[in-house]
Amino acid sequence: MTQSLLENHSFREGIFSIQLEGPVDMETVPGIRKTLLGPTRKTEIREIHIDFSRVTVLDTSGIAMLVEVWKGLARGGRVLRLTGLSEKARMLIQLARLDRVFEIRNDPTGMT
Amino acid sequence: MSMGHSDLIEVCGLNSYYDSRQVLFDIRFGIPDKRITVIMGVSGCGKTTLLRHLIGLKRTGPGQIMVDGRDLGKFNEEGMRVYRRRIGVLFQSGALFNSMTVAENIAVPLKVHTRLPDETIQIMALIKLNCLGLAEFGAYMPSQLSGGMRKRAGLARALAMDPEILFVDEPSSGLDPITAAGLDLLLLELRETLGMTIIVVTHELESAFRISDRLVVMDRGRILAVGSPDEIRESQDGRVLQFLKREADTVKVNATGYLSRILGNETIRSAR
Repeated sequence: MTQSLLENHSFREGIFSIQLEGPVDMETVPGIRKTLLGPTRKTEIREIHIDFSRVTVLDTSGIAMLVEVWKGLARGGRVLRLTGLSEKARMLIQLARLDRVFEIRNDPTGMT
Repeated sequence: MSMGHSDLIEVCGLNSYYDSRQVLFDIRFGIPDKRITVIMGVSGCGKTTLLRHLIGLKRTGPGQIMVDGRDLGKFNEEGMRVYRRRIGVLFQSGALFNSMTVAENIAVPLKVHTRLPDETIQIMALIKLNCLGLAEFGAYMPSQLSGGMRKRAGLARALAMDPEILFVDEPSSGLDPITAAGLDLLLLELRETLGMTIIVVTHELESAFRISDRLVVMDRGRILAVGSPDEIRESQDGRVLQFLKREADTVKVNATGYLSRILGNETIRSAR
Protein backbone atom coordinates (compact mmCIF):
# COMPACT_ATOMS: atom_id res chain seq x y z
CA MET A 1 0.00 0.00 0.00
CA THR A 2 1.04 3.60 -0.47
CA GLN A 3 0.50 6.32 2.17
CA SER A 4 -1.76 4.70 4.69
CA LEU A 5 -0.08 2.15 6.89
CA LEU A 6 -1.53 -1.10 8.08
CA GLU A 7 -0.39 -1.90 11.59
CA ASN A 8 -1.12 -4.39 14.33
CA HIS A 9 -3.09 -6.83 12.27
CA SER A 10 -3.78 -10.12 13.93
CA PHE A 11 -5.87 -13.26 13.54
CA ARG A 12 -7.19 -14.94 16.65
CA GLU A 13 -10.19 -17.19 17.27
CA GLY A 14 -11.80 -16.43 13.93
CA ILE A 15 -11.35 -12.67 14.28
CA PHE A 16 -9.13 -10.70 11.90
CA SER A 17 -8.26 -7.37 13.59
CA ILE A 18 -6.46 -4.55 11.88
CA GLN A 19 -5.53 -0.96 12.68
CA LEU A 20 -5.36 1.51 9.81
CA GLU A 21 -3.22 4.62 9.97
CA GLY A 22 -3.13 7.85 7.94
CA PRO A 23 -5.52 8.78 5.12
CA VAL A 24 -8.02 6.26 3.78
CA ASP A 25 -8.84 8.05 0.54
CA MET A 26 -8.86 7.74 -3.23
CA GLU A 27 -5.05 7.51 -3.30
CA THR A 28 -4.69 4.80 -0.69
CA VAL A 29 -7.90 2.77 -1.03
CA PRO A 30 -6.74 0.63 -4.01
CA GLY A 31 -3.95 -0.81 -1.80
CA ILE A 32 -5.92 -1.08 1.45
CA ARG A 33 -8.83 -2.70 -0.37
CA LYS A 34 -6.70 -5.67 -1.48
CA THR A 35 -5.53 -6.21 2.10
CA LEU A 36 -9.05 -6.09 3.51
CA LEU A 37 -10.82 -8.12 0.84
CA GLY A 38 -8.34 -11.01 1.18
CA PRO A 39 -9.61 -12.14 4.62
CA THR A 40 -13.25 -12.01 3.45
CA ARG A 41 -12.47 -14.97 1.18
CA LYS A 42 -11.19 -17.11 4.06
CA THR A 43 -14.00 -19.15 5.57
CA GLU A 44 -12.19 -19.49 8.92
CA ILE A 45 -12.59 -15.75 9.46
CA ARG A 46 -15.89 -14.99 11.19
CA GLU A 47 -15.34 -11.32 11.97
CA ILE A 48 -13.21 -8.45 10.72
CA HIS A 49 -12.53 -5.64 13.20
CA ILE A 50 -11.08 -2.41 11.80
CA ASP A 51 -9.68 0.24 14.14
CA PHE A 52 -9.79 3.76 12.65
CA SER A 53 -8.45 5.63 15.69
CA ARG A 54 -5.22 6.52 13.83
CA VAL A 55 -6.90 7.33 10.52
CA THR A 56 -6.66 11.00 9.55
CA VAL A 57 -9.13 11.07 6.63
CA LEU A 58 -11.91 8.75 5.53
CA ASP A 59 -13.55 9.72 2.24
CA THR A 60 -16.31 8.21 0.10
CA SER A 61 -13.92 5.76 -1.56
CA GLY A 62 -13.05 4.43 1.92
CA ILE A 63 -16.71 3.99 2.75
CA ALA A 64 -17.33 2.25 -0.59
CA MET A 65 -14.44 -0.10 0.22
CA LEU A 66 -16.07 -0.91 3.57
CA VAL A 67 -19.28 -1.78 1.71
CA GLU A 68 -17.28 -4.24 -0.41
CA VAL A 69 -15.76 -5.81 2.70
CA TRP A 70 -19.18 -5.99 4.35
CA LYS A 71 -20.67 -7.65 1.25
CA GLY A 72 -17.83 -10.19 1.23
CA LEU A 73 -18.51 -11.07 4.87
CA ALA A 74 -22.29 -10.91 4.75
CA ARG A 75 -22.46 -13.80 2.31
CA GLY A 76 -21.46 -16.11 5.18
CA GLY A 77 -23.42 -14.23 7.85
CA ARG A 78 -20.15 -12.84 9.21
CA VAL A 79 -19.47 -9.51 10.93
CA LEU A 80 -17.65 -6.28 10.06
CA ARG A 81 -16.95 -4.16 13.15
CA LEU A 82 -15.60 -0.60 12.95
CA THR A 83 -14.07 1.21 15.92
CA GLY A 84 -12.36 4.54 16.59
CA LEU A 85 -14.18 6.45 13.86
CA SER A 86 -13.95 10.25 13.98
CA GLU A 87 -17.12 12.31 14.24
CA LYS A 88 -16.76 13.40 10.61
CA ALA A 89 -16.30 9.80 9.44
CA ARG A 90 -19.39 8.75 11.38
CA MET A 91 -21.33 11.58 9.77
CA LEU A 92 -20.26 10.49 6.28
CA ILE A 93 -21.35 6.93 7.05
CA GLN A 94 -24.63 8.25 8.40
CA LEU A 95 -25.19 10.40 5.28
CA ALA A 96 -24.69 7.28 3.17
CA ARG A 97 -27.29 5.59 5.41
CA LEU A 98 -24.80 2.86 6.24
CA ASP A 99 -24.72 3.44 10.00
CA ARG A 100 -27.26 0.65 10.45
CA VAL A 101 -25.36 -1.68 8.14
CA PHE A 102 -21.92 -1.61 9.73
CA GLU A 103 -21.40 -2.56 13.35
CA ILE A 104 -19.90 0.62 14.80
CA ARG A 105 -18.33 0.74 18.26
CA ASN A 106 -16.53 3.53 20.07
CA ASP A 107 -13.36 1.82 21.22
CA PRO A 108 -11.08 -0.83 19.75
CA THR A 109 -11.94 -3.38 22.43
CA GLY A 110 -15.46 -3.36 21.01
CA MET A 111 -16.92 -3.05 24.50
CA THR A 112 -18.74 0.24 23.78
CA MET B 1 -16.45 41.09 8.08
CA SER B 2 -15.55 38.70 10.83
CA MET B 3 -17.10 35.23 10.86
CA GLY B 4 -14.34 33.23 12.48
CA HIS B 5 -13.45 31.67 9.13
CA SER B 6 -10.26 32.58 7.32
CA ASP B 7 -10.28 33.21 3.60
CA LEU B 8 -9.37 30.14 1.56
CA ILE B 9 -9.26 32.05 -1.72
CA GLU B 10 -8.38 35.71 -2.21
CA VAL B 11 -9.00 37.58 -5.44
CA CYS B 12 -6.47 40.40 -5.60
CA GLY B 13 -6.96 43.11 -8.23
CA LEU B 14 -8.08 40.75 -10.99
CA ASN B 15 -8.66 42.19 -14.45
CA SER B 16 -9.90 40.18 -17.39
CA TYR B 17 -10.21 40.66 -21.13
CA TYR B 18 -11.87 39.02 -24.11
CA ASP B 19 -9.47 40.08 -26.89
CA SER B 20 -9.05 43.80 -26.26
CA ARG B 21 -12.36 44.24 -24.43
CA GLN B 22 -12.00 44.50 -20.68
CA VAL B 23 -14.73 42.62 -18.80
CA LEU B 24 -13.45 42.56 -15.21
CA PHE B 25 -11.96 45.58 -13.46
CA ASP B 26 -9.78 45.36 -10.34
CA ILE B 27 -11.83 42.62 -8.63
CA ARG B 28 -10.94 42.22 -4.94
CA PHE B 29 -12.63 39.98 -2.36
CA GLY B 30 -12.05 36.94 -0.18
CA ILE B 31 -13.80 33.56 -0.11
CA PRO B 32 -14.07 32.24 3.46
CA ASP B 33 -13.31 28.62 4.26
CA LYS B 34 -16.29 26.31 4.93
CA ARG B 35 -18.85 29.03 4.13
CA ILE B 36 -21.10 29.91 1.20
CA THR B 37 -20.04 32.89 -0.90
CA VAL B 38 -22.53 34.12 -3.47
CA ILE B 39 -21.41 36.22 -6.43
CA MET B 40 -24.50 38.08 -7.51
CA GLY B 41 -25.25 40.30 -10.47
CA VAL B 42 -27.34 40.68 -13.59
CA SER B 43 -26.57 38.77 -16.80
CA GLY B 44 -23.45 40.08 -18.48
CA CYS B 45 -21.95 41.64 -15.34
CA GLY B 46 -18.90 39.37 -15.55
CA LYS B 47 -19.72 36.88 -12.81
CA THR B 48 -19.37 33.79 -15.04
CA THR B 49 -16.04 35.11 -16.35
CA LEU B 50 -14.95 35.49 -12.73
CA LEU B 51 -16.06 31.90 -12.09
CA ARG B 52 -13.96 30.72 -15.05
CA HIS B 53 -10.92 32.41 -13.49
CA LEU B 54 -11.64 30.85 -10.10
CA ILE B 55 -11.79 27.31 -11.51
CA GLY B 56 -8.66 27.84 -13.59
CA LEU B 57 -10.31 27.78 -17.02
CA LYS B 58 -9.30 31.36 -17.82
CA ARG B 59 -5.84 32.49 -16.82
CA THR B 60 -5.16 35.72 -18.67
CA GLY B 61 -5.29 39.25 -17.30
CA PRO B 62 -3.37 41.13 -14.61
CA GLY B 63 -4.16 40.46 -10.95
CA GLN B 64 -4.04 37.34 -8.86
CA ILE B 65 -6.19 34.63 -7.38
CA MET B 66 -4.50 33.30 -4.27
CA VAL B 67 -5.46 29.79 -3.11
CA ASP B 68 -4.04 28.93 0.31
CA GLY B 69 -1.68 31.85 -0.24
CA ARG B 70 -0.40 30.54 -3.59
CA ASP B 71 -0.96 32.28 -6.92
CA LEU B 72 -3.34 30.14 -9.04
CA GLY B 73 -2.00 31.79 -12.19
CA LYS B 74 1.45 30.39 -11.45
CA PHE B 75 0.37 26.81 -10.82
CA ASN B 76 2.20 24.39 -13.11
CA GLU B 77 0.44 21.40 -14.68
CA GLU B 78 0.81 19.28 -11.53
CA GLY B 79 -0.40 22.17 -9.35
CA MET B 80 -3.50 22.58 -11.53
CA ARG B 81 -4.14 18.82 -11.39
CA VAL B 82 -4.04 18.93 -7.60
CA TYR B 83 -6.28 22.05 -7.54
CA ARG B 84 -8.81 20.48 -9.89
CA ARG B 85 -9.04 17.46 -7.58
CA ARG B 86 -9.89 19.80 -4.72
CA ILE B 87 -12.77 21.45 -6.58
CA GLY B 88 -16.13 20.37 -7.95
CA VAL B 89 -18.09 22.38 -10.50
CA LEU B 90 -21.82 22.31 -11.22
CA PHE B 91 -22.32 24.07 -14.53
CA GLN B 92 -25.55 25.89 -15.36
CA SER B 93 -26.67 23.19 -17.79
CA GLY B 94 -25.79 20.34 -15.43
CA ALA B 95 -23.49 19.15 -18.26
CA LEU B 96 -24.48 15.49 -18.06
CA PHE B 97 -23.56 13.12 -20.88
CA ASN B 98 -26.88 12.16 -22.47
CA SER B 99 -25.57 8.85 -23.79
CA MET B 100 -24.74 7.58 -20.30
CA THR B 101 -26.93 6.61 -17.37
CA VAL B 102 -26.99 8.91 -14.35
CA ALA B 103 -24.71 6.54 -12.37
CA GLU B 104 -22.27 6.30 -15.29
CA ASN B 105 -22.16 10.09 -15.44
CA ILE B 106 -21.16 10.25 -11.78
CA ALA B 107 -18.47 7.63 -12.35
CA VAL B 108 -16.76 9.65 -15.11
CA PRO B 109 -14.50 11.85 -12.94
CA LEU B 110 -13.65 8.88 -10.73
CA LYS B 111 -12.57 6.82 -13.74
CA VAL B 112 -10.55 9.70 -15.18
CA HIS B 113 -8.83 10.90 -12.01
CA THR B 114 -8.35 7.82 -9.79
CA ARG B 115 -7.02 4.25 -9.90
CA LEU B 116 -10.07 2.94 -8.06
CA PRO B 117 -11.53 -0.36 -9.34
CA ASP B 118 -14.94 -0.33 -11.06
CA GLU B 119 -16.66 -2.11 -8.16
CA THR B 120 -15.64 0.65 -5.72
CA ILE B 121 -16.59 3.38 -8.20
CA GLN B 122 -20.07 1.89 -8.71
CA ILE B 123 -20.70 1.89 -4.96
CA MET B 124 -19.40 5.48 -4.67
CA ALA B 125 -21.81 6.60 -7.41
CA LEU B 126 -24.71 4.99 -5.53
CA ILE B 127 -23.65 6.66 -2.28
CA LYS B 128 -23.58 10.08 -3.98
CA LEU B 129 -26.97 9.49 -5.62
CA ASN B 130 -28.44 8.46 -2.29
CA CYS B 131 -27.13 11.61 -0.57
CA LEU B 132 -28.94 13.70 -3.19
CA GLY B 133 -32.19 11.77 -3.01
CA LEU B 134 -31.66 10.01 -6.35
CA ALA B 135 -30.92 6.50 -5.11
CA GLU B 136 -33.59 4.99 -7.37
CA PHE B 137 -32.48 6.81 -10.51
CA GLY B 138 -28.94 5.55 -11.17
CA ALA B 139 -30.02 3.48 -14.19
CA TYR B 140 -32.05 6.32 -15.74
CA MET B 141 -30.84 8.34 -18.71
CA PRO B 142 -30.56 12.12 -18.09
CA SER B 143 -33.37 12.74 -20.58
CA GLN B 144 -35.72 10.76 -18.34
CA LEU B 145 -35.19 13.12 -15.40
CA SER B 146 -36.95 16.39 -14.57
CA GLY B 147 -34.97 19.65 -14.62
CA GLY B 148 -34.55 19.63 -10.84
CA MET B 149 -33.41 16.00 -10.82
CA ARG B 150 -30.91 16.68 -13.61
CA LYS B 151 -29.49 19.53 -11.52
CA ARG B 152 -29.18 17.20 -8.52
CA ALA B 153 -27.56 14.54 -10.71
CA GLY B 154 -25.12 17.19 -11.94
CA LEU B 155 -24.44 18.09 -8.32
CA ALA B 156 -23.84 14.41 -7.50
CA ARG B 157 -21.24 14.32 -10.27
CA ALA B 158 -19.65 17.57 -9.05
CA LEU B 159 -19.36 15.91 -5.62
CA ALA B 160 -18.01 12.61 -6.96
CA MET B 161 -14.41 13.37 -6.01
CA ASP B 162 -15.32 14.60 -2.50
CA PRO B 163 -14.25 18.14 -3.34
CA GLU B 164 -13.22 20.57 -0.64
CA ILE B 165 -14.50 23.51 -2.72
CA LEU B 166 -17.71 23.49 -4.76
CA PHE B 167 -18.46 26.01 -7.52
CA VAL B 168 -22.06 26.32 -8.67
CA ASP B 169 -23.12 28.35 -11.71
CA GLU B 170 -26.73 29.63 -11.62
CA PRO B 171 -28.23 26.78 -9.55
CA SER B 172 -31.80 28.06 -9.94
CA SER B 173 -31.70 28.52 -13.69
CA GLY B 174 -34.54 26.70 -15.44
CA LEU B 175 -36.09 25.52 -12.17
CA ASP B 176 -39.44 26.38 -10.63
CA PRO B 177 -39.23 28.32 -7.31
CA ILE B 178 -39.92 25.29 -5.12
CA THR B 179 -37.30 23.08 -6.81
CA ALA B 180 -34.83 25.99 -6.72
CA ALA B 181 -35.43 26.43 -2.98
CA GLY B 182 -34.85 22.68 -2.53
CA LEU B 183 -31.49 22.98 -4.27
CA ASP B 184 -30.59 25.90 -1.99
CA LEU B 185 -31.34 23.68 1.00
CA LEU B 186 -29.04 21.01 -0.39
CA LEU B 187 -26.19 23.53 -0.63
CA LEU B 188 -26.80 24.64 2.96
CA GLU B 189 -26.74 20.99 4.05
CA LEU B 190 -23.41 20.42 2.28
CA ARG B 191 -21.93 23.36 4.15
CA GLU B 192 -23.31 22.16 7.49
CA THR B 193 -22.60 18.46 7.25
CA LEU B 194 -19.38 18.33 5.24
CA GLY B 195 -17.94 21.78 6.01
CA MET B 196 -17.61 22.45 2.31
CA THR B 197 -16.51 25.82 0.90
CA ILE B 198 -19.16 26.76 -1.66
CA ILE B 199 -19.11 29.52 -4.28
CA VAL B 200 -22.39 30.22 -6.06
CA VAL B 201 -22.83 32.49 -9.05
CA THR B 202 -26.40 33.69 -9.49
CA HIS B 203 -28.65 36.51 -10.57
CA GLU B 204 -31.43 35.32 -8.21
CA LEU B 205 -31.67 37.85 -5.40
CA GLU B 206 -33.88 35.73 -3.15
CA SER B 207 -31.67 32.66 -3.40
CA ALA B 208 -28.53 34.75 -2.85
CA PHE B 209 -29.82 36.19 0.43
CA ARG B 210 -31.18 32.80 1.51
CA ILE B 211 -27.93 30.85 1.32
CA SER B 212 -25.00 33.23 1.49
CA ASP B 213 -22.62 33.85 4.35
CA ARG B 214 -20.80 36.39 2.18
CA LEU B 215 -22.31 38.28 -0.75
CA VAL B 216 -20.34 39.79 -3.58
CA VAL B 217 -22.43 42.20 -5.66
CA MET B 218 -21.15 42.82 -9.19
CA ASP B 219 -22.20 45.29 -11.83
CA ARG B 220 -20.66 45.86 -15.24
CA GLY B 221 -17.44 44.02 -14.43
CA ARG B 222 -16.86 45.75 -11.12
CA ILE B 223 -17.49 44.89 -7.47
CA LEU B 224 -20.21 47.08 -6.00
CA ALA B 225 -20.15 45.63 -2.49
CA VAL B 226 -18.91 42.70 -0.41
CA GLY B 227 -20.44 41.74 2.94
CA SER B 228 -22.81 39.58 4.88
CA PRO B 229 -26.44 39.50 3.65
CA ASP B 230 -27.39 41.88 6.49
CA GLU B 231 -24.57 44.26 5.61
CA ILE B 232 -25.65 44.31 1.95
CA ARG B 233 -29.31 44.73 2.87
CA GLU B 234 -28.51 47.67 5.13
CA SER B 235 -26.00 49.25 2.76
CA GLN B 236 -26.39 53.00 2.29
CA ASP B 237 -24.36 52.92 -0.94
CA GLY B 238 -26.59 54.38 -3.64
CA ARG B 239 -25.29 51.97 -6.31
CA VAL B 240 -26.08 48.94 -4.12
CA LEU B 241 -29.53 50.30 -3.27
CA GLN B 242 -30.19 50.92 -6.95
CA PHE B 243 -29.03 47.37 -7.79
CA LEU B 244 -31.25 45.78 -5.14
CA LYS B 245 -34.24 47.89 -6.20
CA ARG B 246 -33.74 47.02 -9.88
CA GLU B 247 -33.51 43.31 -9.04
CA ALA B 248 -36.57 43.48 -6.78
CA ASP B 249 -38.50 45.18 -9.61
CA THR B 250 -37.42 42.40 -11.97
CA VAL B 251 -38.80 39.83 -9.53
CA LYS B 252 -42.09 41.77 -9.40
CA VAL B 253 -42.30 41.90 -13.22
CA ASN B 254 -41.59 38.16 -13.44
CA ALA B 255 -44.23 37.40 -10.81
CA THR B 256 -46.75 39.53 -12.69
CA GLY B 257 -45.97 37.66 -15.90
CA TYR B 258 -46.44 34.35 -14.15
CA LEU B 259 -49.72 35.43 -12.54
CA SER B 260 -51.09 36.83 -15.81
CA ARG B 261 -50.40 33.48 -17.46
CA ILE B 262 -52.34 31.48 -14.90
CA LEU B 263 -54.98 33.99 -13.84
CA GLY B 264 -55.48 36.19 -16.88
CA ASN B 265 -54.70 39.92 -17.17
CA GLU B 266 -58.14 41.08 -15.97
CA THR B 267 -57.63 39.34 -12.63
CA ILE B 268 -54.20 40.94 -12.21
CA ARG B 269 -55.60 44.41 -12.86
CA SER B 270 -58.46 43.92 -10.42
CA ALA B 271 -56.13 42.57 -7.78
CA ARG B 272 -53.89 45.67 -7.85
